[in-house]
Amino acid sequence: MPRISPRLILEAYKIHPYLPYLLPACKTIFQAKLELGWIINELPVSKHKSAIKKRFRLYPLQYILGNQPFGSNLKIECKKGVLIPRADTEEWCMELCKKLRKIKNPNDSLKVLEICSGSGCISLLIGEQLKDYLAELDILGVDVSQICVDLSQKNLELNHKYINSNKTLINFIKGDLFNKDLLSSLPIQNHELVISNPPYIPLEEYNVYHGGLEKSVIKYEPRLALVGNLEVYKSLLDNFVFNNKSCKSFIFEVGNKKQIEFVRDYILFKKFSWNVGYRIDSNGQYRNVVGWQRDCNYDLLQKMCTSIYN
Amino acid sequence: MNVIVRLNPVFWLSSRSLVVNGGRSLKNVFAFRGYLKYSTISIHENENLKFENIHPALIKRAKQLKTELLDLEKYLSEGKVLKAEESKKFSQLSSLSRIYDEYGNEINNYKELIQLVENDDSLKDDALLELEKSTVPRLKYLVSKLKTRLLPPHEFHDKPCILELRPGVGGNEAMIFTQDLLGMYERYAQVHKWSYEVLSKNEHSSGIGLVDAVLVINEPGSYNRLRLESGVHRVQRIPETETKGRTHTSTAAVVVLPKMSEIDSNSERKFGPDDLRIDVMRASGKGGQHVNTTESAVRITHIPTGIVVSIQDERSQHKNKAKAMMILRSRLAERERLERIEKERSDRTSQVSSTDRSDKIRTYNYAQNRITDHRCGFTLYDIEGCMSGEKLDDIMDAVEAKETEDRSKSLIEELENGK
Repeated sequence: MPRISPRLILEAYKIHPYLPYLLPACKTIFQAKLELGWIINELPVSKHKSAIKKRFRLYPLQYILGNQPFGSNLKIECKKGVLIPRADTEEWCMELCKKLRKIKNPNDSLKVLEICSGSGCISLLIGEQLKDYLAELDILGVDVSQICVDLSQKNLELNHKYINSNKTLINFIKGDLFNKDLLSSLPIQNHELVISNPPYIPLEEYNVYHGGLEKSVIKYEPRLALVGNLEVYKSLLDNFVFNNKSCKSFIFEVGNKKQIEFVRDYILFKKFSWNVGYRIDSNGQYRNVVGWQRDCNYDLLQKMCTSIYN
Repeated sequence: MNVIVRLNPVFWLSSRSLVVNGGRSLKNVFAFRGYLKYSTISIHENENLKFENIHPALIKRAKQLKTELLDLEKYLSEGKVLKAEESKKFSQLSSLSRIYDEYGNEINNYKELIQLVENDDSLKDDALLELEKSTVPRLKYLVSKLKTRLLPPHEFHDKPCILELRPGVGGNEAMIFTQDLLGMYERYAQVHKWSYEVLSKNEHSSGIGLVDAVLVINEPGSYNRLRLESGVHRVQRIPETETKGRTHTSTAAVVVLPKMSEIDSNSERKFGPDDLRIDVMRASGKGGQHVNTTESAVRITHIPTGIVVSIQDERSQHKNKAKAMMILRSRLAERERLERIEKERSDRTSQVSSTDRSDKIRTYNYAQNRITDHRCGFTLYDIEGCMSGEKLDDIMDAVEAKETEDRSKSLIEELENGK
């Protein structure tokens, strides 16, 4: 991390005595002022000082404030032990919802399975966006951590007014993605779409120096939600895509190109009737791998892709 | 006779007090009679009986609109259903025709009363009283109302609005004044019980004053009320920052935009893929799970016009983007409207004075406790009442009246040229 110059600290101090404490996390006075504004607006006065102190030690702002906005209305509660929803995830989720509106007719029903649901943000956003569009919408989120399952249930209740609809059903269940028999024990079986933002940071990248990982992430966010690699994608495909005939498509978040290529090769090896594409996000990073069965409505998912493999 | 005419207002005053008192003193009765003897002259001289009648071209226009209404009514009676636009027009026309009918009745009334005054000695005084107390004020009211109704409604008259405030010349003091103006409009919205939201606010790094601010007022029709606030507001006072007690002059600019709703924009405006450049604060490096950034600022550039909107107040990038798009849409709508007006104006031969774009529209002089609007020359001696949003309506009414007058003048010109 670059050193913060004494002059910057002095300048920040002149604006507000708390401001220098936010500089290590924010780096610029502009951003520090915004963060200070959010802390002052959202927390009671008695908590300001401790919040500033925590932030000084790079504690994530979302854990301090207790939530993160996601999509246009949702507010996802965040607490230690659960991955904080990212703007990159928000971006592709909104895109996916737009595509789903084209793929599905209003009279259709849709069943979605989300693996590694974490805070539940993806499931909740899809629920919010499509709740009144489809005749029946059934979403099940699965996560291995009990803290996550409890928190996502809570988020469902907190955002009740945005998701509430008698056509929509959202549930969260504890389950391990590496468990081959998990699918048969789930209350939802004939899902059409599998979504996942699985842990995708390879173990060798799990450090600040050459992994490109942020210090705050490594220090405070759960390792369980971060570290994983090709074996995760293999299990996702084996356990939730291939062993179910009704499954027509999947979309996973990825961390690098290798993971995309692995998914492509694995699909080519196992199933001929599937297409695979990848999506580069607005930040220029490999972000998603998308797969769909040929010759069905889900062909439209190719519009989300930057490029498609044949 | 001359002498009596000159005394007229005095007599008139005394006769007024009679009515209030309920009884007539002898002296007043004589005075009254004395006045009535020569009243044929005084009808035309008396200020209380004067009113500015509506221009014949406008009356013609009203008649024309009324026949349009009859056509629509016929259409309805045939059992046909009106389209949304037509039914809007129908309700506008029918309220216009109601006012026009009332005006017609009142004018007939007026003519009869005048005749009475001129020909019938026994009823003269009652007729005069009637004229002054009810007919003329009523006519004045109806004429002004008819004028406003005859003017085509503003394109965005039913829209909510967005106010953008920016300091002009005057350094820190201008920024402080910008803050004061923002407070004034916020309180104005509170007084009217309109829902509002400060969409974005950038404070100066010293913590005093604003670099810019955007205020949204969600009340439909608030645009029509506030649109004439657009322009440069000038302040003359001794700033808080001044140590030697000198008076400074500073300015702040206010831009009022119509707030375009999503539905409108879907039907009216679609951005091409290359029209917009959206710059978002990016997570450095690999993004995704690797970094957890709180940077959420968004900047949208509309490439064809070069309009730039940046918003950073919300924690969510998505929300910042939505807000920025809203402001962009409104700015584009206003810009296009102004361009249309400009074009129409250059098409016309005569130059029409307008309140739309004149700069320095108003001066707030704190030392003299006075606010003067330069467009209509109206002065209000109550800075505090204005800044608290309560007296702002007085100024706005005056400006609006001036604008209506200007517009009806240009309409008359247009109608006459069209003949």
